[in-house]
Amino acid sequence: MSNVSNNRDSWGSRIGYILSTLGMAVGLGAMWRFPMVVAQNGGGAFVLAFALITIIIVLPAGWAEIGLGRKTKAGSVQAFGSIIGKPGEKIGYLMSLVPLGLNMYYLIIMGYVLYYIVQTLAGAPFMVDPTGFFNAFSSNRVQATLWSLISLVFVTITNLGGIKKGIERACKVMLPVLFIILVIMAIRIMTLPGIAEGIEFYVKPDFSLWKDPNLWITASGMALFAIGLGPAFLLVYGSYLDDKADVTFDFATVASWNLTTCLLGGFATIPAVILFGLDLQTGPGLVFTVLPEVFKQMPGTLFFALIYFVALFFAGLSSGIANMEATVTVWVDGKKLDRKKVVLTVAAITAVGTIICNYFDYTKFDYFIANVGYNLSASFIAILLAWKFGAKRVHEEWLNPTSRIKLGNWYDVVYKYIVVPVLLYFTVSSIIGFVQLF
Amino acid sequence: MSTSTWIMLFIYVFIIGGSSIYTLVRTLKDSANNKD
Repeated sequence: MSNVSNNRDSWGSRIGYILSTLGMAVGLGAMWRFPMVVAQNGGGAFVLAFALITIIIVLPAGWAEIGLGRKTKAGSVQAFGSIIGKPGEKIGYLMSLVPLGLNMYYLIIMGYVLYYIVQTLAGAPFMVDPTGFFNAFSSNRVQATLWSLISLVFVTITNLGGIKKGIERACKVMLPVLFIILVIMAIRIMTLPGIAEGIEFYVKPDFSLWKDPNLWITASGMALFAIGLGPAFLLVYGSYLDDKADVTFDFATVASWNLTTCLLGGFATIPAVILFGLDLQTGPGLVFTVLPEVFKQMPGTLFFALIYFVALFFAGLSSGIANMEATVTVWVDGKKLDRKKVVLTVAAITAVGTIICNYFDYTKFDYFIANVGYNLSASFIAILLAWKFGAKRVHEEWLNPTSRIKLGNWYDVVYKYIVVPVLLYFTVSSIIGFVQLF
Repeated sequence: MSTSTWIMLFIYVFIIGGSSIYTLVRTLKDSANNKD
């Protein structure tokens, strides 16, 4: 196997790559979806399962996926094609539909957030009746669609700037701001009087809940979703790395910061929800209906509300950019198409999908994309690299030569006999779970 | 709070949070030394 493209842009610096990959990973997943699924799945037991999957499954699989991207310097089509030929190319094109589909409803949430930023600046009228305000806004399809499309414009403009000018520049500003805001939020909430019960719910695992396979399926989907493992996000970002990059250490950095950010996102919301006796089962509206109630009972209401929603928009924007980039790269590299034309075409398709999602219930679509799409994609790549290409070759040829962390034979055992079977189990279970939704 | 809660808090805040800070500091030091 050899490099399939040598005329691509590349990351300007190592920090730029790490921040950009983190920007892709840390999005609404950490700050909107993670608190939602933690609340719905029993708190501490889910958080620990999520952390374990991140360390045991995501790390080894992520190293291999990025290694493939860096080696081939191409999107999923050519990368998979270089291992199994035409069938791999077809799967690569098919996989590009996952980030495309994801952005269709992702932009709805971003639109909500953008609207709440504007409303906060206008005096935060949602503080009076958060649930009523959210329901009124989200059920106004025309208004919700308009804000989704405004968010799409932000994402498209950034992607038109090119990999270095656009994504890297944006993420260098966004990520530090996001971390600082999250830390401030978490410290503020963790120091509220009477918060102990909420902290217990969030961090103390009730191991009896581990018997429920749905907890593990959701935790796996969340872990893959949170870091972008599966639908070739990591492969695409890895494809812009130079041949000397330390893939192993840099992805360990990304994974640990992604985990920390998810945990922070939970600390900033879940204990306070318990403290104020609010509903943990609110679902997708958790942030928009519950947090204003929390903010109301804190000093500096408008200030905290504003910084939280601004951070949430930054997080969503960086991931929205990555979703579009993952689709664009597949078609630019696979068909040798003009990048700007592909970006505009993908934006147009996304716009249509977003409009449709705004008029229908997207929670089942979210389950399909986040659980089925991610687990299925991650399983395919893991089987391809661990069994077809060879786990031993992955760490000996792609990872160890340029990394400070030298992976031993244990990596082969973990990748082949733990990662692959576990991902396959989650894939089958999530497909069954999706069918049962109807 | 119970002992297990304190243990989990320690793991999440100091071990996972600490690992993140370590990896970042190491990367920044490498970058400062122009090793990347």
